[in-house]
Amino acid sequence: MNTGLLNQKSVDHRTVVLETKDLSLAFAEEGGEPVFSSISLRLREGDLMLLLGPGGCGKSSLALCLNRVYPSAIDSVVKGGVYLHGQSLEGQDPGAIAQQVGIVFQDVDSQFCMLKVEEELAFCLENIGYPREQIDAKIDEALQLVHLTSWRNAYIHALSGGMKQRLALACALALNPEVLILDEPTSNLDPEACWELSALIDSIRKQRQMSILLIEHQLDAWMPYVNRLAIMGSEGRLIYEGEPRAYFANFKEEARRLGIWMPGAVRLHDQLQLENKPSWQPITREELAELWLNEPDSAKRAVLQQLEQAEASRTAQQDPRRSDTDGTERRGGMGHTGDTGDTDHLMHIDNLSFERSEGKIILDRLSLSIPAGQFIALVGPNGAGKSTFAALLSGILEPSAGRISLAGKALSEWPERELRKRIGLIFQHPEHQFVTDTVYDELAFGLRLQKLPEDAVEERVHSLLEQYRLLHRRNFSPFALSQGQKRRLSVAAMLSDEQQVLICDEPTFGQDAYSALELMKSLRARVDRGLTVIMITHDMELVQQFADRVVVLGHGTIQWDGPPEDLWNWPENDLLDHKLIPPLSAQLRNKLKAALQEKQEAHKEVLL
Amino acid sequence: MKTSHAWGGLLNEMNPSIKGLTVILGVILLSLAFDPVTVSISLIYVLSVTALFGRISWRRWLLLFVPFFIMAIGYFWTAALFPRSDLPQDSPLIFSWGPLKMTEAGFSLALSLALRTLMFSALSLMFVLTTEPVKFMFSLMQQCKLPPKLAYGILAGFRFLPLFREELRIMQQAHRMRGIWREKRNIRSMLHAFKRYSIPLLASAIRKSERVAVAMVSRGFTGGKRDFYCQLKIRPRDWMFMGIVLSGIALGYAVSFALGTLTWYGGQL
Repeated sequence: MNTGLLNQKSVDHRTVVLETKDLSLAFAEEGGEPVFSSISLRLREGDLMLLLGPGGCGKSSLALCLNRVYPSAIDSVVKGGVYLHGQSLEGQDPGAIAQQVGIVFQDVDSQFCMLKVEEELAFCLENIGYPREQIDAKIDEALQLVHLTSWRNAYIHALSGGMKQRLALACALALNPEVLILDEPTSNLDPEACWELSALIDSIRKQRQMSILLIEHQLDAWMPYVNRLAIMGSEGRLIYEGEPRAYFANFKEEARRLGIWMPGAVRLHDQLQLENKPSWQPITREELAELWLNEPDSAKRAVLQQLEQAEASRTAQQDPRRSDTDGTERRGGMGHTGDTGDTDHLMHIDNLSFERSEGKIILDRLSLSIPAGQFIALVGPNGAGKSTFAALLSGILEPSAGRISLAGKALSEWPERELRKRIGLIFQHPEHQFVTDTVYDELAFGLRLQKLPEDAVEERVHSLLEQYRLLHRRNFSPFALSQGQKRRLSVAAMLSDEQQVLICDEPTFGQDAYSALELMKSLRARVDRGLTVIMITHDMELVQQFADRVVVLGHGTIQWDGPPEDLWNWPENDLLDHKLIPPLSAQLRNKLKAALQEKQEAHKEVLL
Repeated sequence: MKTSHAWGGLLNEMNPSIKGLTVILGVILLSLAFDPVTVSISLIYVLSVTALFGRISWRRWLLLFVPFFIMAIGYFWTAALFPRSDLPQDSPLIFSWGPLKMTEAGFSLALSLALRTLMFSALSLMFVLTTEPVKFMFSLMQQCKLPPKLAYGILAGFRFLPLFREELRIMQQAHRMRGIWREKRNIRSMLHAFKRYSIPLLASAIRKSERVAVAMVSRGFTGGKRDFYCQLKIRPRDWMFMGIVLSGIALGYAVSFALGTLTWYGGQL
């Protein structure tokens, strides 16, 4: 296994494709404070370099410096140089640069300017003056590369998120760039689409000998392919460039302090406490599993025991009442009809259907009961109707058929005023729910509506500002905050009300590791106070770590309902059908279990 | 049935710039005439051309036509019942009801006004419903030398329109969740509401446009001269089509002239 390390050391003479020398970026209007400074990076041929850093450290801006959007298209002061094969990119025309440095962005909806797939690709090729007669064949080739051939005449808005990202990739690749920059390409995708995209990109990289710079938060799908790592610190300086393994083996503390996301394998390996723990640092899921599978059986058993213990202790600590409520829940959960006298069950959903005005059925006769004090994760593929379900649950959409009741009374019978005190919903995009001019007022808004005295409001707001690290921004407009800060503010504003049911639509989206954890902890604390949280998420690690119960939504109905530990016992193919990928600890547990069992059976056979 | 099939898409396949020019010329020509006969003949002609040569969704056509129709009715009644004072006072009375009187001259004027409204909307709909926006922009760039910077900008903006509607809807829901309904309803709070929606919408518009601009530049778009993959040429049949539509209007003029009803437009309202 150490050969990997040696290998990478020995090939360091590969040619440098892209290089930055003392690159720094500043905006004139922000008082000249640099976004980042003195960045010197080297991307070699065939590299897949992962760039990590805390939220707002300027990673995306760096990406845009590399293809000269800064400073040529946006007013900014860029110092230092970017060199491709030793040649400075300065002064080259954007068409020429686009053929050398391609880029795929995070936002799947605002990186296209045409309506159809074919038009978008033709647009890219026309930009670089590609001969008209050859465009047709080139479009075919590009679509084939990303498996979108049959979608050539489709409208872009009709594609799924994963397909849009593949199209964006095709657009970048159609120009045959030597360097590809990926700016959080998978953050809007479900786990399966995410693993698919990473595998696709890696195969194209090998085929074309491309060099890739990757900026990403969700690391697990990429770690098998990453061979270089660069870390930016909070002041916009490069603090590490080199082997990913070496960094995660030696600088875990630093990464944690900076709020940098670490690969799941690194985190889990770190949590395992064993004597004679191998010092070798696994960074991918495969490596972690292989490492322990090669250890003696006693070690395997010890690890397995630890994983199971961790699960059990988490379950026990989370909800002492869980065993009995959940027992009835699991047996009678599906098709539960609303017996209104049941005080344990806060909400009842009975044969709920929802149909769009154009006749598309989103939800089809779905039934569910929601007790008080439970952390429920709502998962399922993109487009399964999770957000629609959330809107129905919170009463802002009316069901086409069926009934949702809260404390025995149908949602439609509740006066709006009372309903809003009991059910809250945090939307996917934080900006949509800002209603005031300053961060302070935003937090005070709900409290003032409750007619609390002003000094009590001030006290509450102050503590919220502190808890969510927004104190220094209290007089800012909510719209002037960074993406992570906006998200924290929107959650804090909603948490200031004590609703019995709080529904969150991907609350950790776009957060750095530290903020995401803080947020999840505050949601968990709410649940422990006896309130219910329903969270829509794609992140199975969060589900595993925090949720009491998982509801898998697919094809308009509930496909599965129960505690997360049981879900991971599903055959992996069934999980994949619902675009789910089990969290790392469950994967490792299953693998170890299978290996031990196999051995035992082999042993038995020998005895017989 | 067979023939209509063969012609069915001619209007849709016509060069958008020439089609646009045809519509503009038609509007200019018809704005010169002011009598019910010329306009109604041309209107029937344009409608049948649309039906014969256009492949359109009649549901959408009706949906878009109805507002104009209602407007035309409104025009008609106001102009007919409250005629201008400079109309010939001795014109025969058609009917009267209390103080309301409709004279023949008033009727004819009102009908002209209403028909003009219908005519212009029929011409515009013939264009709008048979033209793909992307092709129209391409044609403007290729035939009318519209700068690509502007044309692609408009196209990118066009993509966003449905997204904005969606965003406003979500925002209304989100504000409801925050408890906006708990506030009082008065003019001040209405102004507040306007501000609440417009600022985030503007912010998101700016951010989206910035992102698209960055994406376009990153894909090598400079706004300079370019060769187009999708070539839109002007073919003889485009001119022929223009001839067909304009000659229909000429026919209207000729019939009206022969009947002696032709009146030139003199600024009537």
